[in-house]
Amino acid sequence: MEAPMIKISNLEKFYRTEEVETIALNKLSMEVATGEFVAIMGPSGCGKSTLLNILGMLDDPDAGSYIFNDIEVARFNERKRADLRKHNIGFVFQSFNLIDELTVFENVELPLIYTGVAASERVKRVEEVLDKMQIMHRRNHYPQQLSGGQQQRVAIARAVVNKPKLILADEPTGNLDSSNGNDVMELLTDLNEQGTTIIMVTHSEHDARYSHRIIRLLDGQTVMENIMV
Amino acid sequence: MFKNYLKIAWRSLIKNKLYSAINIGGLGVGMAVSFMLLLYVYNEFTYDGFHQNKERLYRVMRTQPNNGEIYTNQSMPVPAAPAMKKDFPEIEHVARTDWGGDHLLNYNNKPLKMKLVAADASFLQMFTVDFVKGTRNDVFHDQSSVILSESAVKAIFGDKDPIGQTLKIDGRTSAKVTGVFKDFPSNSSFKFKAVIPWTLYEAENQWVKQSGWGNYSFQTFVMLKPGVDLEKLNTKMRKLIERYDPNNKENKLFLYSFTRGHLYGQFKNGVNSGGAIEYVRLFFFLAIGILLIACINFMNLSTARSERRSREVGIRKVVGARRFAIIQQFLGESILTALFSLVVAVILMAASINYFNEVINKHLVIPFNNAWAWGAAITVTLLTGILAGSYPALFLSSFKPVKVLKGVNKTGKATLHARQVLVVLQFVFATSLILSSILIYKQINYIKDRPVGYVKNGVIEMDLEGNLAKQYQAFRTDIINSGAAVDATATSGSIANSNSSSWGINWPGQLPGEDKIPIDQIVTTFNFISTYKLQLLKGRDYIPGRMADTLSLIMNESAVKLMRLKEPLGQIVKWQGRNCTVVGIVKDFVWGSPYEPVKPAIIGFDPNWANQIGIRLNPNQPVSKSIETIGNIYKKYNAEYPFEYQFVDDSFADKFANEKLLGTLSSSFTVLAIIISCLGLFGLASFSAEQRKKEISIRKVLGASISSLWFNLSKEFLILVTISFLIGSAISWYYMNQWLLHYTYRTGISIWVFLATIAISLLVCMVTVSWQAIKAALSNPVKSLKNE
Repeated sequence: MEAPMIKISNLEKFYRTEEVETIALNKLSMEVATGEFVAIMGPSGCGKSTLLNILGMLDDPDAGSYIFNDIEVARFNERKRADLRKHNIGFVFQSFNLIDELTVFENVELPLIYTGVAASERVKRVEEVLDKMQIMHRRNHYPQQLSGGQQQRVAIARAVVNKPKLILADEPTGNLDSSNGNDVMELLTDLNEQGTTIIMVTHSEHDARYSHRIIRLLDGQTVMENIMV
Repeated sequence: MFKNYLKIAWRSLIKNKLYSAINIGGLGVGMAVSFMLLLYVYNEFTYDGFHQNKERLYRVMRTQPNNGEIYTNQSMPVPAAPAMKKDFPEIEHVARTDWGGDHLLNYNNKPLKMKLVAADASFLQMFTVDFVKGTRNDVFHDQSSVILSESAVKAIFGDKDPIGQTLKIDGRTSAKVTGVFKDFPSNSSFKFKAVIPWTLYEAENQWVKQSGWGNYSFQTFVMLKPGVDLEKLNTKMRKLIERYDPNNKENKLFLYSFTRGHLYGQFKNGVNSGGAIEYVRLFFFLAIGILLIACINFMNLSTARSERRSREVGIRKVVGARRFAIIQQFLGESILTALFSLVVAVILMAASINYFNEVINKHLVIPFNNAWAWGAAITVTLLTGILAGSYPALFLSSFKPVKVLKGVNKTGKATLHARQVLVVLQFVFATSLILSSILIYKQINYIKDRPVGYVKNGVIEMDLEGNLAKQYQAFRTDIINSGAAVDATATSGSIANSNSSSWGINWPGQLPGEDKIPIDQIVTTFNFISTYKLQLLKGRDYIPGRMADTLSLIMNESAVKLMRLKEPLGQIVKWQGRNCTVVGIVKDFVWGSPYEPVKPAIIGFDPNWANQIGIRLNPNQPVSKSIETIGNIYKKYNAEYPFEYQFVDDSFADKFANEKLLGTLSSSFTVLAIIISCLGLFGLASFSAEQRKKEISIRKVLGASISSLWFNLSKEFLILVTISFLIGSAISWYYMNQWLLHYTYRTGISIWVFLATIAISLLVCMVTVSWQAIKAALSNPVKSLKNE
């Protein structure tokens, strides 16, 4: 059997203030196979976002193991994590997180710049992905000139332009109306069908139904897993 | 990647116009000022540097004991130059010159006054005189020749070829123009526009040839052969005068580098004690200081805006940027800002260089065509960009993406501390300047208010030259009869500038060696005391018409004290070889430095020594009318000469020129430093107001008043300014104390100076901070609480 893309075991994360310590992840273990579409659900404060940040190597765990594609990354320093991240992982956020000073084209181009792709190749790949997301006609617009749905499509374009193996989506439809939300979910499903692994944090049961498997968290622990049919 | 940074930098500059304007403008002003100061520094360091033989050029200097101190100057006896050439094979050339005063050059009845120097022909072999017409080897072939600078030729001849034309100098000497040279650069010790050969000068002034080793009236320059050991030569040089004039053991000679003279050529008690270099250092320090506070400003404003940039940093990191890439980006932005500031700085410099020149009394030119200057300016700009951007770059790039994207990035206490330190640094500089400016002006006023011992208002002085010298009495009578003047006197020099002293004076009860003490002397005719309104303490003034007064003498109180004369009137004092009876004592009057105690002085009587005329204007008539009347009368006597005069109070004020310059500069820089520092404070205040939005809102919801919120927000800055004041006042107290020690007559550093400084600082701080504080206090609390 193929090794899972992600294997975490006994993962712990604490938040400390001067006097209080809060447990965000409590000896959490889980696996995600290559090509899976996983939804993570749970009430506010259950540790969903913390988990996503650790999976995305934006944050490091306090204890436990995180094996990504057979590499133990839990103790990686920031630089190593950044290198691994930029080649393998794409992010989609609830609030889109586009850079206001850059155009649609330039926002999507950004990851390619940081991975050192040549200029001519960048143009080709950005145009390809903008075409796929059907926002080619908006390429020279700035984010604030776009609707929410369009902005999220740009954000998804940016997440996939580097052809990552994994996309992490943090409530990708949270700021969208239902019609735009559905469009975004369709896009993610398409990407998953083309082989990209997707892990999505969501509050919406409706969105979760697009996934193969739902992991429910409470107080930093897995409380239930539903396999979707 | 670079293109992308540039794009972002450009767009964020455009997007935040006010912020960019403050940033670019602040840095631009700082750069303009410090570049101008550096231009001055460069100009000073290259002073006299254009002489090709500069490494081998020396000025001959002389030391002489005087009142227990050693007096150093550069006036030389005439025979010294030929003796040096004969005795020291190390010397390649030696040249004498006079002091290069204004002379009347007349061509076709068009008289013009110009600086003219008489110099040995070897002068042209030693110094770089760039000939446009004629060569240095042949222009002084003929004794009756004169060479002119290009600007002198333009003024006298216009576009006409001057070579071979004859000029009349001072109405008596004829000389043919044999050469034209390029004007000296403005940073040259030589200011003259015309040169005549020494031989011509000697022929016209017979006494020069006969003057011996005791008459120190000229300058002497030396050019050494390559590789000469200066120290060895100076040891031999010391005894030169004694060798030829065995009784004269006091005067010793030595050589001092010609190019060093301008910056370092000041001597105190025989020891080289610096010179203009002190101003150069001060200017350099100011240049760096101003640039630094402009940089600090930039840092403060940039980090203050960090909240707004943090999201962008987070996104970039998420999509793969390493910290180094972020640092590069922000440094790129600050360098771009610095480059824009350079443009602003160049424009500001071009607009204000004339004003700056006027203030510092120089002729600085912006070197637009000099590639090196541009290279230096761009290097400084890049360094400024890097320095100013370093802190914001390190700070912003340290953001954790997880936190900033969630908006929980509370920029911690550490950054606030760093920024507080920067603001304190700025205000230390500003308070030091405020305190120094106040003290400089206090010192100037203190000296100005010192009683001078005569009435300096309403008196003019002018040269007694041409026909006027012969017909002085008639001229005097005419101007008094016209009602323009009430009194007038002929003197050896201005009352505002001591320029003559003499030794070999004998008095009753003199101790051995006291005849070597030089005593200041001003030589007058009749009406001296009444014209200048000196205070006569005992005896009488010289009596008009009584020529027997050539054997009378008036002295000041200090001279009486020096001579220990209990009953001075009637005593016989030998002065200028004449046994004179003391007939009057005047109260001490400030003739030399206003910062020093009044020296002993003799007011001698000798109608043949008159060089100047002092005129007391009629106080009951407008000054302009009196001047016009005197000018018309002057034309009748001296049609050839331009009517030039000087007010005594102006001449007196010239004594404060350096202090005034220091005052003007220091107060301008104070204003500048305050403005720039306030921008920084403004930045910090807005940063703090933004950070404390939530706290303010909660306080407001709970019922805090606007004024209590205002105080709450402002208090922190008032404390910072107070800390800066404590540090800054300690620093400037130390330095100003040192500065004041230069002056025997000096003002005290009184407590009100400190009070005024802290008051100014706090006021400025409150005005700057209050705007942000009140804005924050007035904001709608619901809005900021919702944002959380």
